[in-house]
Amino acid sequence: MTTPGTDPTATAKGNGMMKWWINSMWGFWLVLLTFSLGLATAIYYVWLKGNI
Amino acid sequence: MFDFMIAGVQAPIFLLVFVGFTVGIVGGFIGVGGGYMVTPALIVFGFPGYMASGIDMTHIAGKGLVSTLRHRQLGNIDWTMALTMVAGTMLGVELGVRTLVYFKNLGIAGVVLLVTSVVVMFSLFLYTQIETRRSHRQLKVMRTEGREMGRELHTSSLPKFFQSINLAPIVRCRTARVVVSMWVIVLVGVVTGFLAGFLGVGGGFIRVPALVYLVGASTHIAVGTDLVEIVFSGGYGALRHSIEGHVDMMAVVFMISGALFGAQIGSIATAYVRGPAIRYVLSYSLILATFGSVMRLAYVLTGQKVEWLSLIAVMLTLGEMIFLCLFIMSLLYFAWRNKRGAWVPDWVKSLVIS
Repeated sequence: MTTPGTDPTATAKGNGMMKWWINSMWGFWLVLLTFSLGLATAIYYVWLKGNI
Repeated sequence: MFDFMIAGVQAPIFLLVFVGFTVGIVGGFIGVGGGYMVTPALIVFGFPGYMASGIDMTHIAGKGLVSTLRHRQLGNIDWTMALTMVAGTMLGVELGVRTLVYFKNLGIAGVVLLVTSVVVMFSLFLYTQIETRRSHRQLKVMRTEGREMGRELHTSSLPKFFQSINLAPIVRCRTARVVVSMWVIVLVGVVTGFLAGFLGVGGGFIRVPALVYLVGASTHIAVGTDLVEIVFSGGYGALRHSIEGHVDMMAVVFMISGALFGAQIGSIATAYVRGPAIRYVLSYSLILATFGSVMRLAYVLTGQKVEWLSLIAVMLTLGEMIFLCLFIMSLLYFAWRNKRGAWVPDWVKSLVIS
């Protein structure tokens, strides 16, 4: 039966994932790159689409 | 919004300032002009190719000057090395341009250019990345053992070989703490100048690793010294393009207004990181630029019909500028946190100066 409160397993897992992204150089690299490419795509669609 | 005609182009002013700012940060941090990022970006904004080159060169000259002055204050310039290299660079650029004309006459300049840039950039990326990871591991070990970590560490054995060449005159580069044959510095200038002239770029992304891995300068000194070269080549390029009428000063002013701040931040950021951090950013810049060139090469080889290849190249160019800028800002932020004793990721601890 599920009881109200914090699920310690879920929290630990979530922290672990987050820690990996920031604590690993590759993870940090990937997060930044994904964000940058997303922003580049947004810039393209908002300002540049007609120019190319 | 805030857009008006510049050089007959409905130019997005916010983007001009933004590009100037981001490339200013990157240029000040890794010692490059950033022409390989800015020129394609300006073409995407709608400027004709010749105009993009002219505006880029003029903005590089101004930005390079700001970065150089800041690096001079930080003691990152070895004038003996810089001025010795200028002579070799001029000769190399001339040889590179002549080789380019030769391939242009054969009608294969476009493909040869793209293939050469892909090969050069990828090789430099591979060597820089492998060596920097090795240095980073060594720094981590030193930190764990509580040993004193200097501002620089590189594990390449190539400088020892080049410094052992006993060919007079021998030059003493006091700031770089390097004693080496003048001909080695001139040769580095010729080779990097040749590639720069051939590829049509400033050549900072080739010269910085060459100064570190061949001459044996520290990364900070390589960055500052290379920026001196960029002021010379950018200044000459700006003059030539202005005479030809390829420069629109309005666009340059907007880009420089962003670049002035960016170049200051990028240059100052070098004072808070160790050499391998700068080389990491340089290697990331190289691999992203390689992917951009691969996409452009694929676009040319498919008869310029597959539009999405060109689109990906554009995304990579813009994405690269944003990514490098964010990475440098993150390093700066982590350095600040580390100084205050706050939590920072483990991999950062040995890259920043506390």
